[in-house]
Amino acid sequence: MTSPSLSIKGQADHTFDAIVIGSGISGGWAAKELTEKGLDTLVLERGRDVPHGDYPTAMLEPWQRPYRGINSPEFKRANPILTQVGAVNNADRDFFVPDAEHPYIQKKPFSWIKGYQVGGKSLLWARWTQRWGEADFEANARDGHGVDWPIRYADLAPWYSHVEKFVGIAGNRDGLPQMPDGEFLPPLEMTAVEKHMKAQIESTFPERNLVISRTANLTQPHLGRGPCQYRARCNRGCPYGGYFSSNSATLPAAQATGRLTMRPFSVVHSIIYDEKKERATGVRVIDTNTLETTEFFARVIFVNASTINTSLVLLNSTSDRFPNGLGNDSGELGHNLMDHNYRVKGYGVHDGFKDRYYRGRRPNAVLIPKFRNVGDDQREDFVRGYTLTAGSNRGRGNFGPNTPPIGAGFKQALSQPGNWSAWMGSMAEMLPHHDNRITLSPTETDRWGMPLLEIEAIHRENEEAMVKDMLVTMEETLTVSGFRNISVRDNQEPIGLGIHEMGTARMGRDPKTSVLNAHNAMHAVPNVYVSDGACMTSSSWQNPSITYMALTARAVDHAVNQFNRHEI
Amino acid sequence: MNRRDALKSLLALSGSVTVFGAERFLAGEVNADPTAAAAEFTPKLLALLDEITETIIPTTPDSGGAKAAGIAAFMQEIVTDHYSAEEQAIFFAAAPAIDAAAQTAHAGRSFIELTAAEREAHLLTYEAAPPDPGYQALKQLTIWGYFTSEIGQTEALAYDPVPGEFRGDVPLKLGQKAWSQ
Repeated sequence: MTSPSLSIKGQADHTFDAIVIGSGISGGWAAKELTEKGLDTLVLERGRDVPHGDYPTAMLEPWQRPYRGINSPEFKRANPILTQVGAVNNADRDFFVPDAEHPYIQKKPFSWIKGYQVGGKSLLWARWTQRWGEADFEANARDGHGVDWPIRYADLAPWYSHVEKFVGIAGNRDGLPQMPDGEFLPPLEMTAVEKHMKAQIESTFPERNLVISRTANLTQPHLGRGPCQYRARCNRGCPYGGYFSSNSATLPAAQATGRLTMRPFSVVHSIIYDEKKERATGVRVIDTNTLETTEFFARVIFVNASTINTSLVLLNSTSDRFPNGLGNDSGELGHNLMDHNYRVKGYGVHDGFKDRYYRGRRPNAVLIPKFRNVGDDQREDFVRGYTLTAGSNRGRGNFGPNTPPIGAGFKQALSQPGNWSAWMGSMAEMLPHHDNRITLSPTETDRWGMPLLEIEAIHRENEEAMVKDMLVTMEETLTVSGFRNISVRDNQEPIGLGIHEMGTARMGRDPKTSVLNAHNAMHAVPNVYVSDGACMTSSSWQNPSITYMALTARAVDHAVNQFNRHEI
Repeated sequence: MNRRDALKSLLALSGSVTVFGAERFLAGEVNADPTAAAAEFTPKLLALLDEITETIIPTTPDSGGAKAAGIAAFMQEIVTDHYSAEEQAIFFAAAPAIDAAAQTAHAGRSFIELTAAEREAHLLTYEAAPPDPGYQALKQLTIWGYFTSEIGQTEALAYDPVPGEFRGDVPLKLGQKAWSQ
């Protein structure tokens, strides 16, 4: 595709120092760091603009929502994939993409959950921000799955600090080697039941810990944002800036430099490669309103379109030099797709602590950090590990033996706190496997003319062995903590619902087996950087976003140095 | 998480799952013909539903009851747009059956004509008998609708839309209300 009609003047208008594809959690960081380091930067976002504060459902109460918030049968029928997500209801679904908007082909069951607007899924994320540990970056080299990460924890640690200081993370310094401490605002408090669970777990299983999750909710005012108001309506967008999103934090910072150009409604078709220069020179953009194609040019290109769309753009960027996708000399582009395994869920009721309560709605929960394959707890049935998560609250209904089943006494009892209950979840590492992959449909295209994605991924022996173990350890957690009515089950949910897609353009040391180098630049195209989930070489057992942020800031530092030295 | 799971967790917050167990009649999976169902909600049925729901959750000194909270209209919305034909049939038979039983027991006086105490005593007969699907549907919809209504949230519960602080472990005061949603 060429644009012969583009004049010199037009080309100048369309030329920037850097282009960032995507404005989600990593694209927002790329924009902030590039502009603050002096580069005129164009950010391309496929969805609509969402200025910070423009969150139409943020203040709605249950009675102001149709059906008190549950999805209508029509919506559910039209969105069988999206409505698998528990957070999707008719006040909290504005920033999720309806199924019909962007179809794809499930060669194996895979639920692809998307957020197409300025800010991307940074408006929707769960905000847990634990650092990865040293062992996570060594895991592939140690057990031979996937390829070795080209970096180690020490390479990323200063960048974790860099981003944490800006994001604002409520966290406790737990001193656990598998989950390093960071730059923290004051932590959030556990409930009485969670404190009890902690004491029981840690005394029964000395190698296990139960700690409060680290969360990008502001427990005190931070750089003009927040603090969190403890409404726990984060998915609607927070008018208080109580949690970190591109909209509330990185994009305003980029805007303040005067060097940011934001272009919404821009689906990137492909990256333009110049065979003489051996560099990418720009991108082709489809305007989603007019379906017209435009080209933009820059010396640095960051691809942060979110894992699967990032690889879609790269696979669709073909040329004589790269017939199988940009920078795809290794053949690994599109392969090694991962998502965290959340299949094991639990629940229990506790009869104690009737005299304890809480105030406010806490936006995070507690976790039991990885303990399998840590220290002396080495497993023969699986490699890697998982975290168990938990939260607790009091239901309503203070029923005694003489509480009537209807009437004034019934109403009064239902208006008072009831039993404590706890939910539990799991987040398990998924191994990088070559056959878990995305490919482009050779025949079918979407409404923008892009090839439809085919997604094919399954859990294998190691993931299934971890599921078996999680069923046991989750039940142990609830049992030793004195819960009753315990239910622990493998819900068999499709891959994708972790909404932690990773891999498909992995970092590595060897250009023959990986797509990106140690600085997130393509081995074969040194001015194209990928620093969203696509870059991940393994998946670890922790929420990934803070790691994308640190990798992005580090990658921009490298890119700007190369740019200023005219290496790229 | 499907809708039933989501609703179950919502109901767990409102306490009713632990009270009643099954939530079969809440938010059916497939709606039947909405036009036909809408026609079933006559002024007479809505008036009867007002009094049945008010008996389950009455006005008390601190807060309005189900009638003031508009639970009959809420039922109309859910039953019309969410229930299957089978579920609708059970729902629409329930209130007239309660009324007919009241007339049999009270020499022809309809449920609406009974005193508040008589209404309560009448519904208590359903509580003492084996679970009646129609009655359970009315009761569960009443609880769900009431505690998500403006009156339920702001008067019956401790309304706290913008807490501004989080304290994880505080003493519960005697008689303290549960927080709103």
